[in-house]
Amino acid sequence: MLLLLASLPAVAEPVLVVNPSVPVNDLKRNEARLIFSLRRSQWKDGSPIRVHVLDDQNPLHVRFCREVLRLYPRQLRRAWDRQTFSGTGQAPNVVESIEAMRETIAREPGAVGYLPRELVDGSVKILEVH
Amino acid sequence: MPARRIALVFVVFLGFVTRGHAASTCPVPTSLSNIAGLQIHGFLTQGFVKTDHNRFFGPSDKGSFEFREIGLNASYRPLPSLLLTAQGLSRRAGNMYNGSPTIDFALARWELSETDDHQATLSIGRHKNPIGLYNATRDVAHTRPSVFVPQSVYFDRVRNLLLSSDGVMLHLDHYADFGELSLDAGVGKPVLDKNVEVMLLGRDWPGDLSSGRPARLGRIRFTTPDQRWQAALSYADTQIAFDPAAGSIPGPGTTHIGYLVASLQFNQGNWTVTGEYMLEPASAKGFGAPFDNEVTGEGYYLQLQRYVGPSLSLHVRYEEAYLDRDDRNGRASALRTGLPASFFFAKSWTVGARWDVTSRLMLSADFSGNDGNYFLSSRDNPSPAALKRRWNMISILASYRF
Repeated sequence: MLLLLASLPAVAEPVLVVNPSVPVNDLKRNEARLIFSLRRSQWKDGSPIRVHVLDDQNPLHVRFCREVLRLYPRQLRRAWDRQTFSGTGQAPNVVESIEAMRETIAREPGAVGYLPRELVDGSVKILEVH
Repeated sequence: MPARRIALVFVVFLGFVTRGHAASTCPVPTSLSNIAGLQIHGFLTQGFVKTDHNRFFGPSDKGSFEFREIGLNASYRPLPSLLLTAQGLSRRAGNMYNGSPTIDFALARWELSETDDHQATLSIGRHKNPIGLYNATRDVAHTRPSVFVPQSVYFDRVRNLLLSSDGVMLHLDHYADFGELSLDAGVGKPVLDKNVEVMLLGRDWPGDLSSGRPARLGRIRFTTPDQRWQAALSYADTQIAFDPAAGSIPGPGTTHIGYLVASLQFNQGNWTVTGEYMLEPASAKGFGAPFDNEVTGEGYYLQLQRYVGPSLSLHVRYEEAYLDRDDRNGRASALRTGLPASFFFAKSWTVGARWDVTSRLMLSADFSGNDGNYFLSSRDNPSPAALKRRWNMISILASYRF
């Protein structure tokens, strides 16, 4: 397992991205944490927030959690499990690849997720988190 | 056996929905996730328990597989501000639960308002009671801190007393730079069962239990934005009336039970430290001797968890619980009831490990050394005189969730 992790190529810098329809241009870190914890259901204009993530153990997901949200992936997973299995909320959609993430965010109004910075094109919008 | 049949049906279902996805990582079957706002999730847990003396969740002195939890839930968001969700649960736990399916929760949640710094939500239906850190998801192995929830605070032998309620609940969240403050407040009818009667009156007598008036519950919780600290104070109270039928020795009595839990959790790097303290003032009147009494139960635990790499964690926990905090050695309760003193307290060490094999499959194993029998159900141990005061337990579980 350790060998496997060590042999992975360095993971690119993750950035938070949204569908261009989202009426927001930046986010505070605490807002981003609430969105990825699925505690927020709508954007400022009332349109639904749709959260997409990669698998818990995906290196880009881990790096996004640690560097952008400054949380551990297990903290998010526990929050999703608690909400889902206690009837207080839902879980994010898990996409299967970075390419699927970009396609989904570009296609779906209200979608939010993350991508490696160098793979971001005009089809999605970067929100800087500060 | 209905429990076996349900398990089989569920496994077949699981196999069906995860076909072609088993190797991938999508938690929601793709065909279902195409319906916007609909999610299907579930879990399947199988445990094995071995004790040297006494029985915990089935004939564990010989090795018991009578611990199984199966849950399936659906949630649907027809509007951004409305969530409809329900979960069915089948739970096999020794002689306490036979696996018959129950409605675990079924509710509608309306978001009344959402701004940058607060959120207000009202929900109606059957709720899991938000008590302490674990009550609402106590049957979901992935969310538990060990194989079983800490029995000192979350007794399995009376779980239904505080598990869920049919009623209304208000949730308020306030977000600030220093953290998040949440309040849950609700009233509802507790969902009672025979285990509650056995706990209150020693056995299942002819007659019926009913909730005298709606249970009230509330929780206030503070979490720092990085989730490093979490603190909560929860309170619930309930009143249960017994209406005896012919042949019952206890008379028409009423029990009042309060339940106060203070919780604190600290997360730092690879460590999680969790402590919870529970007080349970209980009074029983009108049943006649030896059932009438007034005691304050107490329980607490401290747990350390250490994450070793991304998928393995180790934990150690110490806990104590007493039926009557003013009678910690159980002698006064033993005199009153004629039961062994060890029936009324428990002190327990647990060490264990958890391995998240994939993001869906988890294996967990615990060893616990126990002094006292307070955690044991008399439905699994019908002869109190046969109980051994000191006993040890090994428990193992495998859990799959999606």
